[in-house]
Amino acid sequence: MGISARWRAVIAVVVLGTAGLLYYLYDPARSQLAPKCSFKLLTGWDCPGCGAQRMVHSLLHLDFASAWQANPFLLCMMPVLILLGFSALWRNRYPRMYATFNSPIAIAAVGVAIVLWTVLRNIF
Amino acid sequence: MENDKETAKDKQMEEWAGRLGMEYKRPEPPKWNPVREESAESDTPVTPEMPQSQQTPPPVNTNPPFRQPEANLNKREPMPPTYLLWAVLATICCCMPAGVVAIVFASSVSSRWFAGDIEGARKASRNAEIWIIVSIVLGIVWSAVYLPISLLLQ
Repeated sequence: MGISARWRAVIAVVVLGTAGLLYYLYDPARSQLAPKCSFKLLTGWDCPGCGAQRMVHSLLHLDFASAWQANPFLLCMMPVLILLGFSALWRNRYPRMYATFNSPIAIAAVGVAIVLWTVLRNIF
Repeated sequence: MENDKETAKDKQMEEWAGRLGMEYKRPEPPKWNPVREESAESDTPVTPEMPQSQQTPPPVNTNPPFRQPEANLNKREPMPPTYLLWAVLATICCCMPAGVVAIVFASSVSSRWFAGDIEGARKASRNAEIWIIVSIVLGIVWSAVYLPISLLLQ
């Protein structure tokens, strides 16, 4: 809104850096302070993002095997998420990429993948 | 050959930008030199008594004309944002039910936009934004409620 692009970048870097440092230093599987998933506590089922904190912790320690164990779907989605952010930021420069990633089919595919993953991880 | 390829790519990009209702920003836009224009304007009134033959001709601008972005913004508006990245992050990290609603609205933004329903796309974009905020707020409220309880139960 009223914030300039430079300040937005500074804020993003500070927030991401602090969060990254915290998740690097503390293991969310052992720490009491790590927020727990409301969906899992209320229903007993895993939500699509359950394991995300453990995955970030493992990724920051470059332990890809345990990252895969924590949440394989989110690990596969990481490149997609990065590309999504890139296409939104560089919308003027790469309009075709933006149009592709934001086409109804692509969005529906992402939504269906998330719902499918939620169902499958709770069945198996 | 290189030049032809470049312009073909630019044309393609312009077409895609047009579908999104945007003005395509070329990687290296033609440089517009304001100093030149000013000197050309100030030259003519200061020396009116000089004979026409001795007067230096105004510099010819060989660059393509500078396009005013404001003029194009008034004509058409770009596709409203789908907030897809935020919708996915909100679904995965904050609150799944509200996030799924946001993803459905995000998909509706682009399907309505490409169908020509600009007003509907704008509404869907606004709804997606609202549901993302709802999802994030629910996630934060839950953490704020849960943290003290978990510390007490420890």
